[in-house]
Amino acid sequence: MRDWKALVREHLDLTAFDEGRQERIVEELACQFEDVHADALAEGASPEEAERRALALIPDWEHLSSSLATSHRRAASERLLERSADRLVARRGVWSLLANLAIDLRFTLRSIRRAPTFWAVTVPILALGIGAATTIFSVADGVLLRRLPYTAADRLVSFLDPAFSVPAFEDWREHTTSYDLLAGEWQKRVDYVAGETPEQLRTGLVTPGFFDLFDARPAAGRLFLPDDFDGAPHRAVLSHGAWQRLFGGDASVIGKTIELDGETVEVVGALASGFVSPQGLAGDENDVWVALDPRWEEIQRPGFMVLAVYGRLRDGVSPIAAQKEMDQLTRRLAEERPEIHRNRRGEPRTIQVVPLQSALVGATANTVRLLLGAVMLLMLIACANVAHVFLARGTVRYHELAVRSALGAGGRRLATQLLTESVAVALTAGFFGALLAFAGVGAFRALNPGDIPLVERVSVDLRALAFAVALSLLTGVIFGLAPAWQAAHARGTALRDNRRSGGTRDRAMLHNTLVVTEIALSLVLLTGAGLLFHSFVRLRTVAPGFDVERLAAVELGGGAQYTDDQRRELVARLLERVEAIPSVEHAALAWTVPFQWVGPIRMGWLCEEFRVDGNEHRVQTMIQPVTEDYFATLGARLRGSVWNRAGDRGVVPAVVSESFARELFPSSDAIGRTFQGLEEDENGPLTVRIVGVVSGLHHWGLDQGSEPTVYVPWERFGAPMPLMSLLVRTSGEPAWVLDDLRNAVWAEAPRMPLPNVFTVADRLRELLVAPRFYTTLLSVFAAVAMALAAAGTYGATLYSVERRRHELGIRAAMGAERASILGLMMRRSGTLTLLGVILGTIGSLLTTRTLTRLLFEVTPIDVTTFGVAMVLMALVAIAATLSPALRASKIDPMEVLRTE
Amino acid sequence: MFSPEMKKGSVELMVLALIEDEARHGYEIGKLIESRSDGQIQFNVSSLYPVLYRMEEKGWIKGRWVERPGERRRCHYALTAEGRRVLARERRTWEAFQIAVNQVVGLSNA
Repeated sequence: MRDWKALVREHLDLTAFDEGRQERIVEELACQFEDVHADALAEGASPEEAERRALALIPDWEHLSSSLATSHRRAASERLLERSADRLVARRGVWSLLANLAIDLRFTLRSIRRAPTFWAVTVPILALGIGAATTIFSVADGVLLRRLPYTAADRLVSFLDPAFSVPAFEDWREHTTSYDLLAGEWQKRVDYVAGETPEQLRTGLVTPGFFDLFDARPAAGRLFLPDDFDGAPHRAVLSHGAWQRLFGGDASVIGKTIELDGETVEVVGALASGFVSPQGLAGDENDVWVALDPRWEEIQRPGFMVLAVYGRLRDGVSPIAAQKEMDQLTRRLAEERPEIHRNRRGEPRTIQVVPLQSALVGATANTVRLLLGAVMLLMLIACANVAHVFLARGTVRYHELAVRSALGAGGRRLATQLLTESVAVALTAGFFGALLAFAGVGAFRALNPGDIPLVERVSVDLRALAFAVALSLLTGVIFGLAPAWQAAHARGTALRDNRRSGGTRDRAMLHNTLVVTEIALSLVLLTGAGLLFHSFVRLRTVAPGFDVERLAAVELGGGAQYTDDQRRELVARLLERVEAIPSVEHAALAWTVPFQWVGPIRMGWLCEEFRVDGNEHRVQTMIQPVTEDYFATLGARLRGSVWNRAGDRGVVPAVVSESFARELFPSSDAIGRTFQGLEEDENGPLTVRIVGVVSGLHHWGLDQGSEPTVYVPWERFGAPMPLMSLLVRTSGEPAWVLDDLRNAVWAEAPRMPLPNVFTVADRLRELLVAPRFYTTLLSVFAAVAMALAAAGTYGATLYSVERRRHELGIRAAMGAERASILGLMMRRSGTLTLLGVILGTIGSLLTTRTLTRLLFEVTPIDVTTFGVAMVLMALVAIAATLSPALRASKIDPMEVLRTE
Repeated sequence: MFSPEMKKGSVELMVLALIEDEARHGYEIGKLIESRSDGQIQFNVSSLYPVLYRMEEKGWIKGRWVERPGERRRCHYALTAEGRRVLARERRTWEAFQIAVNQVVGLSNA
């Protein structure tokens, strides 16, 4: 007989096994061969036949070798895993949790492979929401939350109003006890000429202690010493940027002198690159700082209010306590030194002590909070949408859950499993959302409308990533709760009862609640976007009161060194030269031209008191010195005429705005009338005769209104001040003459800096950038929200149709028309939509007042906007239900009955 | 004949069930599967032996050499305590699986 053991040893590869195991395998298999051989012989087979049958036991030795080797390897690793898991579970506590988590994650990975579509739908929706939310959080964090980059930043304060006189500042320094340091900064632009092109440098004239407040360090030279502050400004420290740009970072500039506004100052140091002043945080960093002696006689006038004041509170002193001290102090000082501490109306000045971060951010904080609120609404809608999908999937998985329950899995275990799955979905979405946030923040910084300060600090850092993770976890729990609850109530017995799904009424209620919520939240966003859009349209259609096209303007710097007569001569020559440029139709000069400065702050000559026929009138009025061609150049709507040259020395000819004329002469035509005001000469108050009235001129921006203004001859009233801006109307494209204008100025004044050269149309477009930005952003949110709400409504209706398939089939079998079934489904959707619209309208009424600052001539509860938003949302929701409702009306009753 | 996938999914359950009351050797197990299934299910040594090896490595069954009078010695497999637990669990799973599949394909319970 054959040696079976030898046969096995010859053909079977047992190198994977130890000797003892090899012997056993060989002996066992040899036994089997013997048994088969013996059985064959017992059945009457020949020895050859019996041997053939035995050999047929193992037709493929290689396959057996590989199977045994594989079993050996798998068994070893499974043993190891099982022992580890057993050990973890046996140890209880956090190890048990970790073991269960590992199992749940394995289960989740399996579910991804089985249902890739589910993930392909839910992850992008959530990623979009998380990405948008993380982007806006980064903005809010950089602007509102993150500490300013200074030591003891929470103790730094700023005084508001924006500027104060030096004597007032000195009084506060002497009498307050709440601060360990108070410093002032006078920010201005000074002329600097070195080489071919004159330029203006942003300059901060600072009192002692300023650099200490803001952690300044020198990169070369030194900072200010006490001696530097004696007398007129004569010592300067360069910013790092200006040092690099103007002097190539060369340290040899330290100790040299430069000319600023015609005055010689010595450069004693250059700042290190990390320094940023409060103005720098607001995007307007200085190029150079000059030491300012608070005792310098040139700045002692109480009306010369140029100083921004910063302070550091003493340890333990709150801003509220400091405010209280300031209120008491200003009342006392108003008694002792009224010429310094009382305003024009004779009232004590009110000073607000405000944390520096709040002062820098200002009203923009509300805008940022608004964006944060809007994006959180969007996030909630995305969560509701994903919850729909999870609930729908719950129906499909009911059997799986019931089977697992039958196999002994507890309700809590199943719920944990499903929550793990939903959190895994959310964290995956969070990962992609964080990637989207990088792009979002980049886009935000690039498109920043310019009215958000501290925007350089906006970035996706660890805090923003932590926010993304936290938001992902939270959303995973929120939309996973419903299916987890469902899983906890799954029963294995449902299998025997042949129940297709459990708790359908509860699930339907959940779907309906989600639909109503989505519609309501979307309507809030839509209403907000609608209000902004309405406001933007209003703003765009504001008539500025003059012909904006074909207007160019040049701000002339460096007028300080001219005498009054020199300025008059310069302007006369300049206007003649400019009018000779071929494409120039008209040219004029004014202190400021429209849109040169925009916003609520006024720069120039302000008067309040006027007398008409002996009666006093108080009207806050800007006085604008202009040359006689100003209105023709502007293309303004002028009634009456302009003066010719300076007119009668005794009576001042003036053009006034319609708003001023209505204040002083409400019931008669102002042309030809006279009033007293402006200033006094040796004969008493000046008499002004109105020769013309101009209407609707928006000088300070489209949203600033047409304010009371008196236009007076520049030659008489404008020449004494170094404020000069050239305005030019062209026959062609104004941008083409800008270089000619520069050259014309430099031909008359070679070293004159020209800090602001623009076309008025460009400036108008810039004014619309911020409103357009916010309108677009909120509109995008609203559009996405509506799309999600429509998708959620569609899905919920579809689910309802499937759930009621049997009932609808019976109705159809009993004779119900298609139209009546369609009507039934649409009435259901209509009810949900109506409820959502009502709740959304209430929500809008409560929240749209946060938009007030951003709205122009539109109230936060504008009826038209509300109405349009409600109708639009209702139409979108109804349209989304049409398709599933039509499907319901086409249910074949025979098919339904056959299935049952 | 049943597909290899269906056989593969049930062989461990069958082996555990067959040695529940009595220890048996590999050849006997294979013959019993064939006879009790009326020849519908057959496993050859190449298929069955690696399964026995794996189950023993996992600790569900234990092989022991037994020599009976007049017979050569053979390796008999018996259930371990762990094996009994696994058998009970696999029986429940098989039952639930049967019911679930029946519901899907529309067969009523017997």
